[in-house]
Amino acid sequence: MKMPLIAIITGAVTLLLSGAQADSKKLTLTCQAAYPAVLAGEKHTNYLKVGLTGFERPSEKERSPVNIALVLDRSGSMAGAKLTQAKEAARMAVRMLHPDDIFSFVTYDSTVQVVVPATKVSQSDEILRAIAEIDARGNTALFGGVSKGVAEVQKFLSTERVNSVILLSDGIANVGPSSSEELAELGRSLIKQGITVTTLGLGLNYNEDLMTALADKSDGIHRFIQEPQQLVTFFEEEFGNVMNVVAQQVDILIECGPEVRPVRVVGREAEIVGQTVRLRLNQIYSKEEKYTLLEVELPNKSIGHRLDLANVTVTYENLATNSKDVSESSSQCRYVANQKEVDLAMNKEALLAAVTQIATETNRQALSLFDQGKTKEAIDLQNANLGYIQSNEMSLSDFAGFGQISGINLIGRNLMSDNASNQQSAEWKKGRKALRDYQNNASISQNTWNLDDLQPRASESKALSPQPKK
Amino acid sequence: MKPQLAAILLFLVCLPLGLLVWLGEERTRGEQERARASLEGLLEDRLLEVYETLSGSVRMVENHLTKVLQANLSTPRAQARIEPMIRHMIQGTTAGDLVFPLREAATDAEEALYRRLDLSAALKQLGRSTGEQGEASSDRGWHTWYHGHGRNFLYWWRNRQEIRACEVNRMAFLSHLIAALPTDALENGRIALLDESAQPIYQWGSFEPAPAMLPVVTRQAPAPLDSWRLAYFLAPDLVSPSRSNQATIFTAMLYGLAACILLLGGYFYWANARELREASQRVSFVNQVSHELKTPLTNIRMYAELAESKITPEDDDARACLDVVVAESGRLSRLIQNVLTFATQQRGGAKLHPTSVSPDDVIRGVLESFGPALEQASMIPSHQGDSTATMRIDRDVLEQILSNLVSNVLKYASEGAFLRITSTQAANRLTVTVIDQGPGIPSRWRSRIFAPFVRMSDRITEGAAGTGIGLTIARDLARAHGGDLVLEETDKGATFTLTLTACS
Repeated sequence: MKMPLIAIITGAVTLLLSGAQADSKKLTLTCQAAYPAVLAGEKHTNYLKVGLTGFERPSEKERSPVNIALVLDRSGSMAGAKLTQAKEAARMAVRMLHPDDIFSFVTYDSTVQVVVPATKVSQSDEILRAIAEIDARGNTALFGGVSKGVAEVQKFLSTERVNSVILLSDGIANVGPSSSEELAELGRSLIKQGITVTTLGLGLNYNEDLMTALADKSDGIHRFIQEPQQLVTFFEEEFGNVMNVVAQQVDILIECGPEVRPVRVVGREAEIVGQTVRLRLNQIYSKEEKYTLLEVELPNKSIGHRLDLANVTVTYENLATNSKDVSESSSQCRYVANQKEVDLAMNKEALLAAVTQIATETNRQALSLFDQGKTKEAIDLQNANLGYIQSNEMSLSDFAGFGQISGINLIGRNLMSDNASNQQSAEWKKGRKALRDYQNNASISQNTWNLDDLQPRASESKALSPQPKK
Repeated sequence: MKPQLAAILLFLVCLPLGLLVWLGEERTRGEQERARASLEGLLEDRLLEVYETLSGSVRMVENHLTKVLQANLSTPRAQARIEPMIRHMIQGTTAGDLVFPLREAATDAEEALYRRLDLSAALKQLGRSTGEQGEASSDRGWHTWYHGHGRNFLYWWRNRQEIRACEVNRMAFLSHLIAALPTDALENGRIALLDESAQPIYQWGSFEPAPAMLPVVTRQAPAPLDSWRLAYFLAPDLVSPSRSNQATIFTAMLYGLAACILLLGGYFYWANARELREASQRVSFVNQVSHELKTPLTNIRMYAELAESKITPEDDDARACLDVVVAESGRLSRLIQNVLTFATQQRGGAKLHPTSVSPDDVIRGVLESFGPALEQASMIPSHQGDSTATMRIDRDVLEQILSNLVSNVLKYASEGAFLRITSTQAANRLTVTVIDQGPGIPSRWRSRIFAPFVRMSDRITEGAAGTGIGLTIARDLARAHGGDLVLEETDKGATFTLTLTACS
């Protein structure tokens, strides 16, 4: 009796179980409600976590071919260790490429230079030579650089390759569009084409809002790299991430049950029309889960009622089979008599996802208030956020991810209190960049996040040693 | 140097100099303007190429969007979802009524679109601009408006019943345009696509213009980007390029000529100044020597006269010798006196020492002192004196003037063997004429004989010693004495008329 009940409680109806052989090359789709059981006689807010996990590649060598444009800021501020490290990173990238990969290399200062046009990596010596000749000068035409990088990727745009732009910059953009709204708009266009931009911010003077906006909206990762010495390591990770992609252009369609009202997707942009929710993820990495969190409103029903929450259909380009695949899943919810049953049925993973996304969204709002100079409101909101996180401690304290989310938000609150009067301090610049990094990570890549990055100075020695995100 | 002479020299130098410089500058400017005009033409051609590239990209986008809009739009949201260049699809009737997206069924993103653009008003405007005259002049086009960071773009297409439009993703559009534009391909230049506030959107070329620098040429970007401009910046040394070789040589020649004139003028000035300085030194030297000579000469004369008085009347030979000594030392005295007087006058004028004298006595005395010399030259002087009354004049002045005139007659007109001196008095004025019948003075010399150091280079003066200051001194002294010394016009010989005014 208990076994089938648990199966229902977990709410995960996985259709992938049939045909295990073929499915080893398919994404694992899960659709979980945070509260599979809810109290009867009330309206409810529930959260639906739609998770996608990349399949394992047969072997390390058999990775997906990539189509990468590396866009490097070579403005005057990059001179010295930053550029040296960036060039080293670029050289390492070239060495990691296979002959079947397509690589292009774009640099920008006041103007843009296509150092290596998109080409198959057979003549890597020439590419390495071109990289060695780069020096730092001039202004920062970030938009032009990204545009040219995108143009190079577009030359060989294909669903059979991972299409990515990797942007490395240490400065603000000052030639061409340079607001986070504008870069977000570019990101929204790129995700439609299946191109992801990974943005790597170097040092304390880059515009983290712009860099995260571009990454967020194109479903790319943003990373804050404080010291030039960390660059090669971090770059290697992100380059590895691109090579680790097993599916792209992942379109998620969530059709809510007739009595379920979709409220919002937290942490990502989605289109909600009636009962239908649509959104796109651009890249799914091997063996890693990415998820989307949908907030829904449930009607008042009597005990024992079973409600269809949603049917989920995911279509994606499978890089292993070079085919367009479809996965489906659904989730249900039942109405119970008492809180004990609710607690018992609770899906802690889905709840953690909900708390993570909501707390992150609130953290974004608090940061926005703080930026507007409403420091008191910002700190109040961040305190309320901490209260919200704490209220879930009983259920989630076992999870490492929960400790992180509360830790990060606590550090965020302290940063705001300490720097309410001085937003130019190095501590705040660093902290703000770390917060943006965290927000991007929470919403986009959903990896375990390195808490040490947020700690001021003391953790610097630790940060120097390689600390993979996952 | 006299100021007039300096001014003339200056004028003579400056006029051609100025003319040459002006000519050179004028030519240089003309050359530069021509070069600039041809340069601008070149740059405009380059901008035209860029303009064509941009138009081409815009046309590609237009064609693509037209195709999307013309397709069956049963699922406009699905279209917008997959089109990278499109943010939202919009549908309406030609009457301007909005069909999609309706506000009551709008997604969050469409709500945001409503905030960016008054859709109904925009549709009505499109309906009006195309509807009235039946078949519209155009069935597609751009609608632009400002919101947020700059210009926003709507592309529309219509048929008889409906208007379809899409809000263009500005950044995707811009990114697409940039992809078609060149990267670094210009040496020493910079082409930039500038937005409404002249900020670069995208640029290429290795030249980095200074912040406030103006472009050499600009061109409006093609519609719908017509609020942007293409601008060509160029390094300043290329904008005013070095002239052509020929022009450079010509200009160099002009300036060389100018430099020559300047040098020549400078040399003349310097030579003149040196000559004047040397003359003045000469006068000063002669003056000093003359002073030194005066004392021993006075002693010689005194002792010669003393010796003459002590000679026995029988010793005619010795007397004749002494007469020569006395006469020659008298002549030397006059010469020295002339030099000293000239020097005094050069330094600012002689001072008169008038005494009551009878002019005729003075004239007679002079003729007597020249007696032996005249006798030797076989000249018999005649004195027609009519001025015996005493008057207050400087005896030495009158003596020196007459001595100089008689000395000249002796030197240059002795062949005429004629010397007549007349004198008349009227009121307080004395007039003396000295007439000879020598070769006379040619008319071309008349105006110049009174100038210092002038000696007629003529056979007349050949073999005759002279300093060239006698007449100068004579006239200057006469003028200082309220009179004058003039050369009368005569048919034969020379006639000098001296006038003096008695001192009060």
